Amino acid sequence: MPTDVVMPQMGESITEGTLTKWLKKVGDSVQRDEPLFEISTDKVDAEIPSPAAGTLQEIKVAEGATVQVNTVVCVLGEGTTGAASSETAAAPAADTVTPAAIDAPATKVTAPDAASAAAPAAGSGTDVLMPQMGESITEGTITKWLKKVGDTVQRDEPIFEISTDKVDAEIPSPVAGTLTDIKAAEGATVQVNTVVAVIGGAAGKPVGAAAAPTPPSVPAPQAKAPAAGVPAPASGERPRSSPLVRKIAKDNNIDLTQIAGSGSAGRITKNDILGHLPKPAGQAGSTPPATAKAAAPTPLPGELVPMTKMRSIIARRMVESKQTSPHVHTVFKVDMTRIVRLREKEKAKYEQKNGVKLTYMPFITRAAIMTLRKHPIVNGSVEGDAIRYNKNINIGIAVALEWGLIVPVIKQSEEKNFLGIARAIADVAERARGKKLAADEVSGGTFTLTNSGIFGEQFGTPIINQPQAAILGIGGLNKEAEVLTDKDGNDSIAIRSIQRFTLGFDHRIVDGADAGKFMSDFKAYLENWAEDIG
Amino acid sequence: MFVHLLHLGRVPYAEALEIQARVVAARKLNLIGDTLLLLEHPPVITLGRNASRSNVLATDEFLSGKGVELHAVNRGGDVTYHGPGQLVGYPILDLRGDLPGKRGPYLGPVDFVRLLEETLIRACANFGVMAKRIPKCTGVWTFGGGENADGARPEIREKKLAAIGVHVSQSVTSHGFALNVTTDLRDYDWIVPCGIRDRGVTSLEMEVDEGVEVSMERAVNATARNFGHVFGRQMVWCASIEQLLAPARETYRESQAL
Repeated sequence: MPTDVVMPQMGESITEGTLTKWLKKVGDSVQRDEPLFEISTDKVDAEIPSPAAGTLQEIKVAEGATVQVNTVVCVLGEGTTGAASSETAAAPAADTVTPAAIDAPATKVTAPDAASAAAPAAGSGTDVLMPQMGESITEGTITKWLKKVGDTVQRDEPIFEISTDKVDAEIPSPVAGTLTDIKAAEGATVQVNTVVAVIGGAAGKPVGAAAAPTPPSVPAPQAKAPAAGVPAPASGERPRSSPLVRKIAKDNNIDLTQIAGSGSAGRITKNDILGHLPKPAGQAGSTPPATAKAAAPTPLPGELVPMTKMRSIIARRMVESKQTSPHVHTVFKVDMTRIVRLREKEKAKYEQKNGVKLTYMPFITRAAIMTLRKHPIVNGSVEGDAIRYNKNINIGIAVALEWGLIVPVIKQSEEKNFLGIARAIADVAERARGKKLAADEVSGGTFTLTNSGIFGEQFGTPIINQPQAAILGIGGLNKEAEVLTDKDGNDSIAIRSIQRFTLGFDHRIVDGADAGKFMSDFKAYLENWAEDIG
Repeated sequence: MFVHLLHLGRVPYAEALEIQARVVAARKLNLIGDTLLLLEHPPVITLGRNASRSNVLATDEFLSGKGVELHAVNRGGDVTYHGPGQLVGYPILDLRGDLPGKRGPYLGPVDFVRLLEETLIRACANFGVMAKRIPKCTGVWTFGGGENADGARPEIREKKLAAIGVHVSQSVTSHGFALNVTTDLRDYDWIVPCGIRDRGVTSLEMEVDEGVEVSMERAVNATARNFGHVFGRQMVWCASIEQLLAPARETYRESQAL
């Protein structure tokens, strides 16, 4: 009974493949699993093994032709042993292809053009890669396999442990399925992004059938040999490579044993061989890309080098805020004399009456709240391409403490009167110092106050707390000589209590005019303080 | 964005491991946020995943005579010593969270270690002690000084102020760092710290200029402050492990009730 051999499915979104070469001709007898032809799709070059033993009776697709998946490409006649005859046509082909695809782990590396990696082509198998442990880390050591071949694994279930330097990490499975192949033994040190295991689909008919070549034994030694450019094929054998690579080698008369493979287990990738082609223009030989990568972390002279980078990483959050929202700052000078006098007059009996110290903060906070009510955009936040006008005014007040900067938030501050605000500020400040703030009290702010005057600064240019729209910087309160004009237009110089306030705002949603109006209202509220302070 | 900060005081190693395991379990289930446990241990020697027993110099009899425990633990790194006067930090963070330097789906564990070093280097600087990294020798080191005529080897070798060893499981970190604040450094004679033979250990107390007060409380504050700064988080104190895990327990009870 003749067996139809079909174009196998190489990956989920792959609908066709190009038959690059026939390895057998009509009349040849083939063994089961013996390579019949080579195909190439998007990211994969693979030899396709025969699904059965027999004689190649008919070739239906010529070399170079691109055909749809599951198209019959040839027909096998019955051989001496009818072994495969029980199997149906399509199924065995698809089945046997799996191992072949797995056997071509060059997939990622061979990739001729980087772009859209249409579903890692390896049929039903998912490659498990050595993860990136850190920016300058190029390799990791597998200390322990927590699963063995044939074990079923859940997504995110730890499957092996690696260790680099001072880190010991369990690596979770990227998918659920059956561990069909382990490619790096315990103790092996492998490059980042090397395939260390393959996980087959849940139904996972494991490798068993065909893929004799790959199994666990292959792994470590070659992978370990770093990309240093040492020719990989230690054993005098034909180095591992894909049909495409062999074709390029043959066309260009290159001896593959002379090339160091950068792929999994020393496999020679397309890039490797392209690096050995005579080049018209002197593009510095694209020897294994891994080499370049490995070279990068070479310590520079001077031992503190990493710190600069670290600083920039840490600073990034602030820079990010500035990159996310174009910051604009506007500084207003506020005459606080009226409030200073009011406070001086009231503070003694205020504490007696209300049990809370009368500081400047509730005046400033209250003025900010009242002004925010008039200018809701300043209390807004950016969500994607939309502006959220927050219903509540949740005021964050930055407090510098021994163990760090903390920003407790007074929620729904618009519902509180002056005394309520004064109490709330005293309460959060005291609890912050007493280490008694709850975690949910430091989040959810819609607007932030920050005191930049504590070291005698005149004013600061504070950075917005994303995703808020603005932040109010409180400058130092000082006596200054001011020119005052009375209602008859006479000028005089007087000593006044002056404080500068900075509004830092997100220019994407707050216009300069909005900010100006906000600040002039804020200034007016403070300078003409009329509210009952309770 | 915040990190729970919990100071446990002096806790026997085994008990601390248990507390750490509870916090890690709660973090993995996302029942609590990122947490930094700060504590001290009574004298104990721990062997990391890459430890060589030959780096413990004292005999078992000697150690047990001194009441020093020996623990093998699942962190990276070699052998280390913990004891009174040493500030131990167990940061229990989900590396998939919003962390500085994160590029992919999670912050690289080694990048995380670099951030821990940065935290401690800055904390040391707050005491006026300049500290640095040494490539391939994770940890925080003092500066060496002087050089021989041939410029080959500094006359004064760098010394280790803080050791680091981390474990990551399901992208949640555990174990962490140990900063010598006022540690009795003679206890280090029992081991070859981290398997490094050619450089010694030191403490903040030994390195500060005269007149600078070194106390555990100051070290705790400096470490917490710099941790918050480096990781871009607010440090929110928690009074006790019970308080920290309370939301987790509530959730558990609810799930049991169902």
